[in-house]
Amino acid sequence: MKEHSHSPIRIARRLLGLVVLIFATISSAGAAQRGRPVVGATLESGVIKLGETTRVTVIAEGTRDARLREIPNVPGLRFGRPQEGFFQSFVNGRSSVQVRFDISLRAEQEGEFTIPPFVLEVGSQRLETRPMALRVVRDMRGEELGFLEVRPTATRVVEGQPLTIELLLGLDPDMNFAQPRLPWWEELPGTVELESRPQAPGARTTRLAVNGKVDVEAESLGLQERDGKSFNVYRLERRILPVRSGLLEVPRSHVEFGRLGEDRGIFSRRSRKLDSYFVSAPAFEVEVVPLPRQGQPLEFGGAVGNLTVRARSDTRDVLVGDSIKLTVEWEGEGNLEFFDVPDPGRLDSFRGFRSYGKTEEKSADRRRVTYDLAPLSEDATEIPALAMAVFDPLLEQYVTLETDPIPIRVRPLEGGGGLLEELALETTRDIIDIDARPLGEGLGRTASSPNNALVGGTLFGLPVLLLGLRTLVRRRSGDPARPAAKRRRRAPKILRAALQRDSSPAAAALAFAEFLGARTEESEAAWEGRDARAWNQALPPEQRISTQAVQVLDHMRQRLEAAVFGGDQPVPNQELLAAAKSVVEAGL
Amino acid sequence: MKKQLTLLTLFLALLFAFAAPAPAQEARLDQGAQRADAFFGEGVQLYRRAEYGPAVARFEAALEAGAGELSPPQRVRILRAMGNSVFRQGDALRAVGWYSAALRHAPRDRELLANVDLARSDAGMPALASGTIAADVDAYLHAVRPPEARRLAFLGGLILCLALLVELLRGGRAAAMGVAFAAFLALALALPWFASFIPEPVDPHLVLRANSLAVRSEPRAELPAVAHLEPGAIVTRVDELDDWVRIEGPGKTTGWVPAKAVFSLIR
Repeated sequence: MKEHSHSPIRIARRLLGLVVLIFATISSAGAAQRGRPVVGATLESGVIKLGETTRVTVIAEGTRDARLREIPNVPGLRFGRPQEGFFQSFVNGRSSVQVRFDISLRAEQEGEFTIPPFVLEVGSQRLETRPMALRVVRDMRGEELGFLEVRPTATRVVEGQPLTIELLLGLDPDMNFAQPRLPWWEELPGTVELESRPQAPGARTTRLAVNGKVDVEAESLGLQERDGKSFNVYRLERRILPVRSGLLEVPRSHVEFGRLGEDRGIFSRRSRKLDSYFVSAPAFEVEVVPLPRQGQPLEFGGAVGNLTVRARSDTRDVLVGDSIKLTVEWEGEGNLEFFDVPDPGRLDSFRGFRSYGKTEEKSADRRRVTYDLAPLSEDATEIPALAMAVFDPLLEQYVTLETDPIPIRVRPLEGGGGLLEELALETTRDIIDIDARPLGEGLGRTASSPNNALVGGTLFGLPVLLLGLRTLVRRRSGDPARPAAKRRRRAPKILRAALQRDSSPAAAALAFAEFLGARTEESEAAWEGRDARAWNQALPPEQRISTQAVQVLDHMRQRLEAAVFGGDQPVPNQELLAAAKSVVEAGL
Repeated sequence: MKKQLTLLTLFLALLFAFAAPAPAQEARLDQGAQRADAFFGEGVQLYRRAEYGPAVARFEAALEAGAGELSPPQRVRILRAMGNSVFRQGDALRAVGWYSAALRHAPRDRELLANVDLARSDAGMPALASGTIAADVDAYLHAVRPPEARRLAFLGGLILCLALLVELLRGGRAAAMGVAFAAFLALALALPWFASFIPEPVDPHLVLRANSLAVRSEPRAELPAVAHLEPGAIVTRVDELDDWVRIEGPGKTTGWVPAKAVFSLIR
């Protein structure tokens, strides 16, 4: 008889493994949701000469695990082997990581190329960069007919300080088209694009297609002299916000310009380039330094710049509880769109006011916030100054910008009550009262508890005993879950059910034979014509049943056979079941 | 097989007979407890009249009179009243101490937990740690007193034995899984009992400060701090001298702290 292999220990191990797997899945899902990596690519130069080599930089930010899966195949351009680098910086307690791939690119054919996206594998995600445009020309003439200057307003800024890149383009008056090729215009890793400042009223403007696709308004500065020559000068501006400390690299810029002619057909007109020239401006770097932690106020909301502030209210004479709209405007050169504005609801100075929220307007040159306040009592005589900490890059320190207090008059409500009375209806937390009942009251019945020895015995001793018993039982009787063992246990019930279905002599005999076969884990055919005494004698002594039980067995079988074959009275079900019970009790 | 089962049944019957709870003990008050009850009653009257100072004195007298004779629930009642009285006097820090002393006897008392939470908040102390697995496990381990822990462990053992018995008699995959589940459940129920064997501080004190407490190598305020204790940390009193107490804290930190910055939890 084989022992069954369902060990509780094995099953417990499986359960534990399942629990560990569930925990691992939950934590890795959490980790995946915590930060989304960003990928980008830039060209060192948007225009190169035939045979020249430039560089493509592919960056994966916010991850350490990035692989460059595919380098696009562009006929006419040859890509080199990627050089991988890993960069990490710590700014204001946050870690910033970046994986960078530098790939050389040699122009082997002349023409206009679109470099398809680079595919990266970041963790388990597949991310793509944007496509990039590259112009390869045989010759780049143009220095006599135009000039290009690209310069930042500062070469050193702090994190969060806006930066303007100004582009001055001068063209010979005969030229009638210009196409800037600025690899940094659409995407510059480590920066966020800011809204451009509107042109001054009355300024003359023209539209330029940067990189052949982005329509940009440029200010036309008119005819200017430079080195004894006259040029039509245009000005473009790009405002960005560096969000990461380090060196911000702005690649080389080019402008293609020349003259366009027109081909007129019968039904259409087409422009074509009559000649084409190039001017370029070199690449440059801007150092982005982190905001200093020393001296940083606790309430600092991230405001950086050279700002001014003013405030006004829509009314200065109100009843208690009436709304006052306090409008605060911050202006100047700074990250106006990004800092956290102060909240009067959290300021001690605004204790006498209830704040009902705010509305905001953001633009390149102004941040306007309108707070909805209500004075709580007639004791309020002014709207206090609203202060905000700002990091001034010029002074290189934190300064506090404050509005002027605004005098107001608050009249009491009719009936004398103020908002304070309304506040009296508000609830607050307090300690729960003592239990003041006498010490002898309400304590309930105290139940005893088992001692440590009993607990230990129940937890360890008894299970060990049961396991030992189990081993003995298994060795002796085999696994009780075996089909034969189950059949054996169910044999009396099956006999009862069979006799209830059909108690004819033949059916009763068959049912009894099946019963005997199930009890001895044999088939019922084994009991056909079997001599019960001889069978019992043949068993090992410890498995034999009593002589009396053997007699009952034999007697019953004879009666059943007589009923089937001899036409005798059928054996009553009760007697048959009683005989079955007695042999089971005897150990069959 | 039959013999073994019969023996086992007898054994289990004896086990249950042993484990059955004793007949209910009525809450009769002994002499000391009666005096404590009298002091407690007076303290309650004073508390109701908002005379918190005298109420505190009465409650302290009740604790002293009933020393050794008061049951944990009686002790909790007095300690909670002490906590409420000092809280009403405006001393949220000491209220935290009294409530914490009461929680040692009734760790799951919701009203006590609510009061200690409010007192900690008013005193500027951090809230009782929660939300992390370690904090939740710690809370579970200390949420039952030793007698309850023994009862839980005993119950877990019985469940395990029952599952083993079924598996012994019936076998099969379902019974085996039942044993595995019962073993897991028994372990979970027995954890507080296992934890009760970890030696606790002999004379635990609670650090009653809103900010961290400086520990000095000698009982002199002008000496520099050799360590810092977090608000709400539990330390062991080793010695005392005038206004100073020598403590041993987490991470084997030892040193002297001002006596009024720590609160004895053995009440």
